[in-house]
Amino acid sequence: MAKYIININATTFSVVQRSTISTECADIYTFDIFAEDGDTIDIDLTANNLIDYFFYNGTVVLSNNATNLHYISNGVRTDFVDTAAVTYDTSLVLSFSLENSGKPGFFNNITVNIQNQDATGFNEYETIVTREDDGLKCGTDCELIPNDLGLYPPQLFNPSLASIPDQSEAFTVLYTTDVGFISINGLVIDDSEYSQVGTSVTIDPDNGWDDIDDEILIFQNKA
Amino acid sequence: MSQYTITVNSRTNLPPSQVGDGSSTIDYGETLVFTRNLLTSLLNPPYQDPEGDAASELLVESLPGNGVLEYNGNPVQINDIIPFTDIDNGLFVFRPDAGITTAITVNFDFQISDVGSSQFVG
Repeated sequence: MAKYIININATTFSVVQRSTISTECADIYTFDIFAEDGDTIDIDLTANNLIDYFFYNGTVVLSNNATNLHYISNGVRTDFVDTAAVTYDTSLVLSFSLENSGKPGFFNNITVNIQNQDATGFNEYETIVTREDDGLKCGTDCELIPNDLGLYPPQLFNPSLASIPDQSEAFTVLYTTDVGFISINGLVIDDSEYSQVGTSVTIDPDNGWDDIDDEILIFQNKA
Repeated sequence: MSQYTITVNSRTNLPPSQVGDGSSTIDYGETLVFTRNLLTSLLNPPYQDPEGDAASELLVESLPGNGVLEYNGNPVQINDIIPFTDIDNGLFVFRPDAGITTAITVNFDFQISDVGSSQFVG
């Protein structure tokens, strides 16, 4: 029996979804995108109409669009609506939020489609993410007070150095309770990017610091 | 009157005497279009037939993973037979799955028949 062997070279394109940050109000989804410098990355976020179970008062309801859509390319944050085309350069992170639907039996969800086109071919990543909470929305429908979220008010810090990749820095927080989450310029960072010993929180962001004006918010659990 | 009888035995056309293994390397996202050259002269050892008959058909005996063998746009099934005339027209291809993030090797088994005997060898 003759055998035909096909060797397939690996793609340089991949997408890794970070762990989802869930709060009372929303889920925050973050994706690390890896490609080669110069590749074109197309990002397309599409609200779904899953008519099988997305009925509300007898009417088919479209899922809401994601909020806070932005990508961070090589440390620079850019907001966008639904679609974006980015030329890959060093690093690319996609992040957005899905809020509560506020409608019983209806869950906001969105299809994430990320495409990579380079000289050798086309590749894509696609997944569907769902905010499985149909409770009242935060904000105008049901304003939540930060202290009632089980978190202390955020503590603001700034890095002492800028533009130093792989440079970690320790900050002293007010409490010894665990860090709930940390955001840098509005982007919640992954758990692996910080560590805590007592009131000392060391942050080692994957993409380094941008500027000494970077806004670091540390949210600590109340218990 | 005397008669001289001559009996001419029929000649049996023999199947291919040699069908070796083949290999190709492609990048992710790239479709491999098989050619007659890939499946005959570039095999190791190359396709040979005692009478010099050309390859006629290719029998697919197993399927590769991490992708799809296609014939004329449709997925190939085990025991499908692909005429070399269609291979000449670029109708036999391998399309790897998207999103392959590490280099991998896949393979499939096959046999080839010749024009004269129509017997598959592999």
